[in-house]
Amino acid sequence: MARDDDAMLIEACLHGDRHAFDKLVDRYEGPLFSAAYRITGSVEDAMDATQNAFVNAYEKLHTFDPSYRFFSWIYRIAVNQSLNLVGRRRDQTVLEEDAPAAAPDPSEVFDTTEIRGQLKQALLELEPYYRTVIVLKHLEGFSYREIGELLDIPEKTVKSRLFTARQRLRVMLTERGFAP
Amino acid sequence: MNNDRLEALLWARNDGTIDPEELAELETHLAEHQALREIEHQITTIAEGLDTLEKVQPPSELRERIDGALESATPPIAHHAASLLARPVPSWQARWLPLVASLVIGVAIGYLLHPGAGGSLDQSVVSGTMVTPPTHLETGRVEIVLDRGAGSVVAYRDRADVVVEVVLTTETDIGITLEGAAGPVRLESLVSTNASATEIDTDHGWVVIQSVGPGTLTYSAIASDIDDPLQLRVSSGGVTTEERWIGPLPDEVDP
Repeated sequence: MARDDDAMLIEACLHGDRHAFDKLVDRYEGPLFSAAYRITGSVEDAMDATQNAFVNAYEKLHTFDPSYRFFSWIYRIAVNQSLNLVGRRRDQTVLEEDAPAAAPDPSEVFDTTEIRGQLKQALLELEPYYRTVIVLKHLEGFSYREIGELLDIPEKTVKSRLFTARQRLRVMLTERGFAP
Repeated sequence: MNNDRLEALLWARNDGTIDPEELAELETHLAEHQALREIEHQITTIAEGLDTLEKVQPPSELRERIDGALESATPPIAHHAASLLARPVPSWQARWLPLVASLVIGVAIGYLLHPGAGGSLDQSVVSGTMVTPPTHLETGRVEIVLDRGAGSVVAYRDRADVVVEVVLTTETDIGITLEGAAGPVRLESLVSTNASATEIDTDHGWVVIQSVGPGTLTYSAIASDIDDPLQLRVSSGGVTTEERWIGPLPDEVDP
C-alpha cells in the first residue's frame, strides 16, 4: 500500500507538484533520522544526513526506478550520507553518549537499562561499516538480502561483516565486565 | 567445533536462519560443553538488548531544515525532459542521422578548404574564449527565453550528459555554444531538428550549433567530466545575447 502511495506521490512530484514530496518526508523522516543517528552517533550529523538524503532524492527523483521501493532507495542514500559524514569527521568524532568511567559492577550488567547503555556505547565504538550492518539488522530489521542491496555488497559479505561486528561487540562488552 | 563456528551457529539460531542439522549439531555441542553456555548467554543477552534499542525521534527543527532545503533545491527533471534523456533514437532518425553526419563532415571539409566561403559558421560564435565559471552554478535545468518571443533554449543536465532543446517560433537565426570550463564538450547526437540551415561545429572542443527558425532542434552532448561546469551561450546575428552556467546535479554517493 505504502509502495503504491509512494509511486503516486513520486509521479505527482515529477509532474511539478513539489508538495507531493512533503508527504514522502512525513513518512520517512523518522526512520531515516533514526538510522542516521545510530550510524553517526551525533544528532547534528544525523540531521545533516537526513536532510541531504531528502534533497538528493528530490533533485534526482527522475532517476528513481519505480520497480524498486522508494524507501529502499532513499534509505540507501541516507546510509551513504551518514557513512560519508562519519568518514569525514572520523578524526574529530565526539561521542555524545558518555563512556563508562570504569568497568561496571557485574551485578548491574543485566539491568536492562545498563545493558542498553553499554550496547549503545559499544556500537559507537565499532568501525562504521560494522556498526552499519548491526543497525540495519537489529534496529531496522532488514534481511541479509535487503542489507546487501542497501549497501551494494553481496549477501555473503553482509553475513561475514555482521558476524565480525557481533563478535567484536561481544568481545568489547566482555572486556567491560559483561559476564554472567 | 571451534568458537567461531559456535558463535556463528548461536547467532543463526537467534536470527532464525539456522537449519535443523546445524541446530542439532549446536545443541549436542552445548550439552557436551557446559562452559560454552556462557557464550550462549552473552549472545542471547546482546541480541535481546540490540533488538530492544529504541528508535530515536528526530528533533522538531529537522523538518524545518528539510523544508527549507527543499525550497531552494533544484526540482527534478520533469517527465518530458527525462524521457528525452532516455529516449532511444527512432529508426527513421537512425537512418537520417548518418546523412546529417555526412553533411556536417562535408561542411567542415568545405570550411577547411574554403575558410572564407559563405555558409561557414559565424566566427564570433565559433571562436570561444577561456571561460571561467561563477562560484554559484545553476544545476539540472537552465532555460533561456529569447527576445521578442522568438522562442526558448532549455538545457537539462544530469552528471556529464546534457540535452538541449531549442524552440524557434520566428524566422530567427540563432547560435548556441556549449563550452566546458575545464575540458572539451562532445556532441553525442542530434536527436531531432526541423529548423532550417542547421550547421554544427565541434572542432574546437565545444559544440556550436547554428540554425534558423521557425522550427525545433534537440541535441545531446557530453561534458568531459561530471564536475566540469558548462557555459551555454546564445547568440543572434553573431552577437552573444545571453550566457548561463550549468553544473551537474549533486551526485548520489556510492557506498
